[in-house]
Amino acid sequence: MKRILVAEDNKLILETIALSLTREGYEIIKATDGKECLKILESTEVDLLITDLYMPCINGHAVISTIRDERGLKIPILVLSAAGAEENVVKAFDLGADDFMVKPFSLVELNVRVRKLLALRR
Amino acid sequence: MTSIKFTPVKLIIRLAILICINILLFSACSYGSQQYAVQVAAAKTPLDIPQFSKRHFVSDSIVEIKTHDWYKYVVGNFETLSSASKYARELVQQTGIINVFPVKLEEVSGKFSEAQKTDLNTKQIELSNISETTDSAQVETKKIEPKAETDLSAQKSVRKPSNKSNYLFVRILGDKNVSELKNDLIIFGNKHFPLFFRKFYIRVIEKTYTYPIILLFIFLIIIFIINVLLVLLILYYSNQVKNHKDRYISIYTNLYEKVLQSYLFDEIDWKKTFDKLKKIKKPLNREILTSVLFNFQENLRGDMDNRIPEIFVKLELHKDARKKAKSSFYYDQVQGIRELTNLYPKGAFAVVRYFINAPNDLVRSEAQSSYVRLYPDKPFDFFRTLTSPFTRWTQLSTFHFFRLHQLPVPSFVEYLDSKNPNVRNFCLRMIIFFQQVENATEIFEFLNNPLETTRFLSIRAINDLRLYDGKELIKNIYPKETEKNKLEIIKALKNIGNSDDFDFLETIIRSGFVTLKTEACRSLYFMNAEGRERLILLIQDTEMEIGKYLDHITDPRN
Repeated sequence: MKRILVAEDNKLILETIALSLTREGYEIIKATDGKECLKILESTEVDLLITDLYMPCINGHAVISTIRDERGLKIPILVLSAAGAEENVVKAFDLGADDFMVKPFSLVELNVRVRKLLALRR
Repeated sequence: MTSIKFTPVKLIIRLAILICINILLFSACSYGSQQYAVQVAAAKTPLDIPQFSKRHFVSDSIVEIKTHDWYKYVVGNFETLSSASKYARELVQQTGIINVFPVKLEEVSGKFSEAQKTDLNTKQIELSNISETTDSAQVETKKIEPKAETDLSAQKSVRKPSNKSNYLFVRILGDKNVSELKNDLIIFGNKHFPLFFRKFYIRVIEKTYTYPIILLFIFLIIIFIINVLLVLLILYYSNQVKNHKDRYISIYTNLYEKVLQSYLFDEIDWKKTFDKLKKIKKPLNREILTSVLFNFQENLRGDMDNRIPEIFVKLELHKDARKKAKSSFYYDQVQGIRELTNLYPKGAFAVVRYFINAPNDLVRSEAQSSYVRLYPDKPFDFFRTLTSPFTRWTQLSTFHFFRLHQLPVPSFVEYLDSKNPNVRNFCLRMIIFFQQVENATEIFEFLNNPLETTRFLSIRAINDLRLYDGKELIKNIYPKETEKNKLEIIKALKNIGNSDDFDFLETIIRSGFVTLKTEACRSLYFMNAEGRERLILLIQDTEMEIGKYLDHITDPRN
């Protein structure tokens, strides 16, 4: 079973994504801020990271930067954020994100993108 | 969506309770206390107190109190009528004044009965003979110390009535100063406080002078402690209420989120969902439900676009939103408009149109932003009816929304004929941003607009859209323009100018201000190779110091 880490500070959205992906057959680990996300990544191996950009403690950009530059992890990263301005998207991709979805988002589309990213990793 | 409400009413109520408790405490402490004095004279015209004291050997301080048409003269300060009467008898023996009688201080200062008035009338006949000199100045109260050396014998036999018990006060300030201070305080109260409060105020002053200072301090300390305790109690209570409310909101938010998630993921049907949504008739719970639905709507789209508004209507939450929009409080109106726009667009159209010209900035701004959201095909059609200001913040919000949702760009020239200057300027900015070159002719018309900003934006549009036909027009208006607009015209020539404009720029370089001169040099330099040659020729004219300007404009830091 593929393991997906979801980092999102909005609990309702976190739970909704988790529920949606669980129904698709994934194992979901939840983090409510960037710090918790990085801590989980230290001890747990995951197949995909879905992260928000604006989170408490450490923001999404810093999370991506730490994963790619400091830890050298190659897990696929999908950014899910309401901050869909061009500069945010470009920065996320520059730092090492693999995909970007702007809120409001469709759960169906999210599932498809997750499937695609996991397939690419394989 | 978070619901933050500023509740000044609650704060005012709590403060009012605190003030009322304080007033009650003071009233309770001063209630029932009566002060007596001995009236020695009364007259229609003011008496010469030193002369009166000397004549009748009155050794105590005489206080003049003016009430209605009367000037009343009293001595002493007694807690009981009997002590005042006793002192009155002593005064009769010492001074020989016959009509000496005890009075309530409160009555002297304004509440004489009719009987007492008559009594006083008879007494003032005698006194009017004594009063040979009258002071015409309207002095409310005077206190004059009699000469001690002339009345030593009298002083010894007369009991000192003034602040004996308040010895610390007297020792620090002196008897005279204490009495003066007291009189001043009473006069101040009579002059400045309303009638209903004056009585209470005078009673407090009298009470303060009656008790020893230590008791006064103890009393004040107790009042202070009670106040502190009350404040702590109110804080504790408010905190408890807030925590309780937060816990309640958290519990029900979680409950509603889970139930609605189950419904949205088709785990349960509507009947079961409805049963599981507990206490939905309570206003707070309805607000929580709306907030949960709003959160869903804000973050999810696709299938959810229709399902969430459907739940909103099924639970009749749209009625609550409408009520909020009709409220007289602006924050409720804003919330109502927002909820309707996001969760019940069908019901939002009329409300949004109604508030487009609302006098409150926030309500109007919300309505205008909602309009853009509700009418994606013609998002700025509200400009046609907009007579109120279109604030910069709303301009930014609508522009952001417009860009974020990639809405089709309308032709902004349609709204350039608006009488609202905010709308015209916004349209000019949008024409520049979206490079709507086809609107050239309309833009030229704004070069003669009375508003500086509108003219500025037109010049900028000519520059940014490279409207070469406008070059001569902006050159013509140059002499009459403001410095800011002149600068913009020179900048425009850099992009749309040619060798025909060299003389124009040279004139500016020769006569303009430093800023204009610098910009003219820059335009000439960057226009083309011929311009650069012309500038080099000008360098030879040493008086103009063009070299310095050239160094400045060619410096990459500038």
